[in-house]
Amino acid sequence: MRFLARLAAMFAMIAALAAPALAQSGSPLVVTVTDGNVDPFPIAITDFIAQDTQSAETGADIARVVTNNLANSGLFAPVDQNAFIEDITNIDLRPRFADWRIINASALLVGRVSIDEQGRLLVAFRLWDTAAEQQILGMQFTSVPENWRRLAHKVSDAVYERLTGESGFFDTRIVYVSEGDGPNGEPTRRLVIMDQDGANPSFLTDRSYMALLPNYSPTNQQITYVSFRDLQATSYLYDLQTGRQEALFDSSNAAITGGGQSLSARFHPNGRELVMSVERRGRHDLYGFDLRTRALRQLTSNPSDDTEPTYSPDGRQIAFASNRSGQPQIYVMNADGTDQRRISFGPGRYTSPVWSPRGDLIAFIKQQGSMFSLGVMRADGTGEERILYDGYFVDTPAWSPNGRMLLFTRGDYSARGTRYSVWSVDLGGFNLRRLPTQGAASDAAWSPLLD
Amino acid sequence: MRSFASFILSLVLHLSLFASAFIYFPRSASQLDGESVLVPVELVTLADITNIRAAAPDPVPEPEPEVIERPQPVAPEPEPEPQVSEPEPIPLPPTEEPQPEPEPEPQPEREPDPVPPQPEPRREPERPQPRPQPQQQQGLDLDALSTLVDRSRQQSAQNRPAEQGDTRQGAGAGTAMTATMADLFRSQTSRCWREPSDAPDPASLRVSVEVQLERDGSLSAPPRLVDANRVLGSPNPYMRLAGERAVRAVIECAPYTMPAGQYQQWRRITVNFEPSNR
Repeated sequence: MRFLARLAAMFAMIAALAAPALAQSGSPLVVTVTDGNVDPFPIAITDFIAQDTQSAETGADIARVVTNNLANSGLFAPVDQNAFIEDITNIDLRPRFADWRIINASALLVGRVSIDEQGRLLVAFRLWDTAAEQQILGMQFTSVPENWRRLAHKVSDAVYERLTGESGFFDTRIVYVSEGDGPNGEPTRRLVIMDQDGANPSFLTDRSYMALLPNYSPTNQQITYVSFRDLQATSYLYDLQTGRQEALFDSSNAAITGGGQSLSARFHPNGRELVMSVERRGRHDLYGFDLRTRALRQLTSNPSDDTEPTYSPDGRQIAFASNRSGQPQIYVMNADGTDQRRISFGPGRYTSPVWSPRGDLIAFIKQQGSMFSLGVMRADGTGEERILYDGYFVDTPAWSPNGRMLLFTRGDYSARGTRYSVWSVDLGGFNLRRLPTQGAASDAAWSPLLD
Repeated sequence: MRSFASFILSLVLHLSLFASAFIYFPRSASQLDGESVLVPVELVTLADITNIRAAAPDPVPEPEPEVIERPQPVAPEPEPEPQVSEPEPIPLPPTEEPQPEPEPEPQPEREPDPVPPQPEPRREPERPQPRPQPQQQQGLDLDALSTLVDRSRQQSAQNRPAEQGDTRQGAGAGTAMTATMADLFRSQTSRCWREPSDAPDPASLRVSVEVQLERDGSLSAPPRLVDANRVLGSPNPYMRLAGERAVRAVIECAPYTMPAGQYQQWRRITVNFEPSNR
């Protein structure tokens, strides 16, 4: 009993001692912020400092390419260089952060270019957080001087990745179909490859035949495309490093002969297998194809048409379009063809599914009445579809390698026939931009990050 | 009979009218729900709703001594750039990125690459703080001047009994006001907060920042990320970014406009940044 009383007294004393301490410090005000903004991130990019006369122009060029890349992504708002207050002359010194905060630059990118004794270009840069006043990234790259553009893209990718958390997509290429007219007015379709920002375009195929529907390998510099020669559609594999082309199925492949046609072959994420739709006896089924063993393996067998297959990035599933329920809808199945289930249920025709490299979404084209839409839906079929773009004609979606942007073919009505061009749009449906192609273009495919 | 029938009819009609008031459409109801979110507005007249406890047992005597001592520790610091969170010029070590792979067209082989050592020698010598020296030499250094101004501003802020002084008026029960105070702060912070809404699972990216404010609404100390090790060391890059963005938001939106009279209530704030999945 006495013990209890003592204990109580002790507690009382502790409480008495603690109370004023608590009262003095006071509990902090708790604020919960649930809504922010998604404005582009303001970043200041100075001209890279040249260490010698040889690289003087390169420094400004690199800054220009980086600025252009980041601005085009829609996620960054580069600050106008005319607003800069501090003149950066040495990237190894701490910048005066107040000078950069006052022009609303949340980050500052400074860099240096030089040519070393062996004649190689050295590009170093530092990325500073102007609020926290610390360096958040510092790297350097080397290459031959003619390659400065790729170094600029690599700098862009590094900055993008550091500030957004996802991998960049600037050091990449895009293949598209250039639409034109031959000397006798006949339509031509030639494959063109260019840097992601439109620089360095060059033709991959000539005018003698039509080349359509390129798809990029996710692992290396190979594409598949469909060529029309002698009214026959054939899938080709084109190795961009060696320039070597081969028909995937010629008469030597017994499995396909007999009026078989193959279309739209897409790569497995490992780059060594393809999945495609093959037409035999008047109906389309899906087949897997091993590029090394050349073995063809049937995945679906269905009286209706199963077309446009696309692998999930883990290679375990395949999405495809099928008209088994009447109008084309989008289905998902295991990579071996089992467990086929429908995931699109809206009105209209759903076609051209393409699985996002991030894995959670499937892009599609929807046609309802005379309206075409580009949209994305969740790969598990839950939630609602999200329409990113509506238009007169929309086709062939292609993901950026980080799954943040989509390219698509857009047709616009004109008195002289539909005009085709390739556009990009981000996942939110914003940042709509025309791809800088020369002339009419369609059917774009985006490469993985180079290296 | 006729009148009875009409009475019945009237009764039925009235009842059905009455009953119709009880019918509700879940859809429109949920829409209403969504709209009734509290919208923080910055025009708050705080004086009217105060429930401040009348002058709390006068705490004035306590703070006094501390106020006098304050200035001393601040004065001695010499260097112009006090933010020493990190060493000065850091060598650019991390990624000695191999040069880009040769592409077919551009040019054939590029020299075998990764040249690791060469940058080091040049950069190393610069390391021993090149910064302070040049500054002292210059006759007029705006940078140093501005840090001086900053410091004197800080000092004067501290002379005003910032940290301790004013329990006099502030420490009420204040329950009614903390909500408005929180709204006031929230509306100012959310402007600067870059929401990670495009990350894979935004709702998992919740972070908290502890903020200390001066009476004039400026930051009295760098904001502190709660659980900084877990957040900034997270294998999930989006988590690291969420932490950085939260701290950046708090810094970029300062100074805050808050009612000076209630300083005690918002002197310390814990800000929870809670993105939602849409």
